[in-house]
Amino acid sequence: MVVAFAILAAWELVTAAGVVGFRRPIYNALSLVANMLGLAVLFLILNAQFLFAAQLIVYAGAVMVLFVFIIALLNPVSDVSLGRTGNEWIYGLVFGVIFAALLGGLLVNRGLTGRQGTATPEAISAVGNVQAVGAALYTKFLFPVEVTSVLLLIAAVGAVYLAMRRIR
Amino acid sequence: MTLELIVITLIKTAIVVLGLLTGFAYLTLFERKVQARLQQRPGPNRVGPFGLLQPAADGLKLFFKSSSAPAGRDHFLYLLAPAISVIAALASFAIIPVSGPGDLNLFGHRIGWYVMNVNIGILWYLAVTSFGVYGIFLAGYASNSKYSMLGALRSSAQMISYEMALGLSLVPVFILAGSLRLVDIVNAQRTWWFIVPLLPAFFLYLIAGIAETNRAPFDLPEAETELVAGYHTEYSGMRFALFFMAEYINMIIVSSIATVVFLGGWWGPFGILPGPWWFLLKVVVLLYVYVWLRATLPRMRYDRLMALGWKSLLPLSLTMMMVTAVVFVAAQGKA
Repeated sequence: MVVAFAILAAWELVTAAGVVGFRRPIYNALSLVANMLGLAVLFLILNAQFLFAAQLIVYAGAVMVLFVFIIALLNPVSDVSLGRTGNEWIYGLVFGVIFAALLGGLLVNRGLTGRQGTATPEAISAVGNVQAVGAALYTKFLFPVEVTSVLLLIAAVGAVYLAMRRIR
Repeated sequence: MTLELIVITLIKTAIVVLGLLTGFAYLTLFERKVQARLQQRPGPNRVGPFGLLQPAADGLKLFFKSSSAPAGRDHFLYLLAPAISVIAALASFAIIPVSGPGDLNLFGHRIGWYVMNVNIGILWYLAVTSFGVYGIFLAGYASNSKYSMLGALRSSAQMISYEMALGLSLVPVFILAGSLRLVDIVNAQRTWWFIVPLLPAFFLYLIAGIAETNRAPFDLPEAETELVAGYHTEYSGMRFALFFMAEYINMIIVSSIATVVFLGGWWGPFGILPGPWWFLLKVVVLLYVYVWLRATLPRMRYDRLMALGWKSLLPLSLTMMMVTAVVFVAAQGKA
C-alpha cells in the first residue's frame, strides 16, 4: 500500500508540474486530467470507491472534457506567444507562501497520520460504500448539500440568461 | 489481496479481452450479413464457408497495411487517442456478470462470473466510458484536419449530452434493486425482469446508448457525406482498426448492460438453457436491433439530435426517475 501511494504521489507531482509547465494549452489541460485520474486512484486506495467514480465522472469526464473542448475550439496556438508582464512571480510567491502556511497548519494540527474517525473500512463495508456516502449526504449534511445545489442552480440560470441576452 | 486473487483476476481479464476481441470480429461479420439480408444481398460469402473467415481476412489486411499519417499531426496525442478509446471500451466490461447465481467452482477455487463485483457497480461503467470521449476528441484534435476536428467536436458534444440521459435512465433500476452491484440487480429480477415495470426507462436507455456509441441513426460524427469519416479520417491500418474495435466493443457493452439491468441477465424462462447462453442470446438480440436500426433509419440532422437529447430524453428520464421513486415509496408505505 505504501509503495502504491509513493508511485501515485510521484505521479501527482509530475502531472501537477505539467499543468503549469507545458507551453501548449491542450497539454496543460491533459496534465490536469492525468492529475485527476491519479487523485481518483488515491480515493480508491482510501476505500472511497464512490468518490473515485464521482471524481472520474464529474471532473475528468465532464468538466475537463469541456475545458479541452473549448481549448481545441478556440485553437489558441496564437496565444502561445502571448507576452508575459514579468511580475507573475510576485503572485506566485504570495499564494505559494499562503498555501504552504495552510499545509503547515494542517500538519501541526493533525499530525502526519491524521485522526481516526468513526467511518472505518469495516463500518463502511457493513452498509456499503455508496449507501454510506448517500446516507451521510442526505441526513447529516442535508443543509449544505441543498445550499450548494441552489448555488449551482443560480450559476446555471445566470449562464442561460447571459447566453440568451447575447442572442437578442 | 492474495496471490490467488491476483492470478484469478488476471486470467479472467485475459479471457474477457480475448472474448471481446473475438466478439468484435464476428460482430462486424454479423452486421454485414444481417444488413445484406435486409437489403436482399447475399453479403460476404467468399472467404471460408458462409464467409465465416472474413473477419480474419480483414484483420490480416489491416495488420499488414502501411499506416499513413498526416504531416501536421501532434504525434504523441495522435498515438495516444486510439489507445484511450480501446482501453476505455475493454475496461468497462469488467463489472458485467455473464452468469450466476453464485460462483463457479473450479479445481477447488470459487470463481465469480465477472472480473470484479464492486460496490459502485454501474458507476464504474459510467466513469470509464466518460474517459472514452478523450480518445475520440484527441483523435480529431491531433490529426490537424478539418474533417477530423469537426467530427470530433460533434462526437464529444453528442457523447456528453447523451451520457446524462444514459445515466439517469438507469436510476429507476437502482431504486427498484436497492443496489448498484450488477449481481444484486440481476438477482432482484428473478421473478420479474425490470423491463416489465420500467419499459419507458428501457427505451430511454436504448436510445441514449445508441447515441452514446455514435451508431446509426445518430452516427453524425462520421457522416460520410459531409465529414468523410469524422474523427478517424486521418487514421489508417491498425490505428484505424483500434477505433473501429472500440466502437463495436462499446456496442457489445451497451447491449450487455441492457441485458443485465433490464432483461434479467442470466435468468431465462423455463430454465431450459444454462445462464451464459441466456446472457449471450439476449446480447445478440440487442445487437441485432442495432444493425436493424442502421439498415432502416436515415441519419438525423445535428440540431434535431441535440434537441432530442436535451429537450426530450433528459426531461423524460428525470420524470421516469421521479415517478419510480414516488411509486416505490408509496408501495413500501402500504406494505
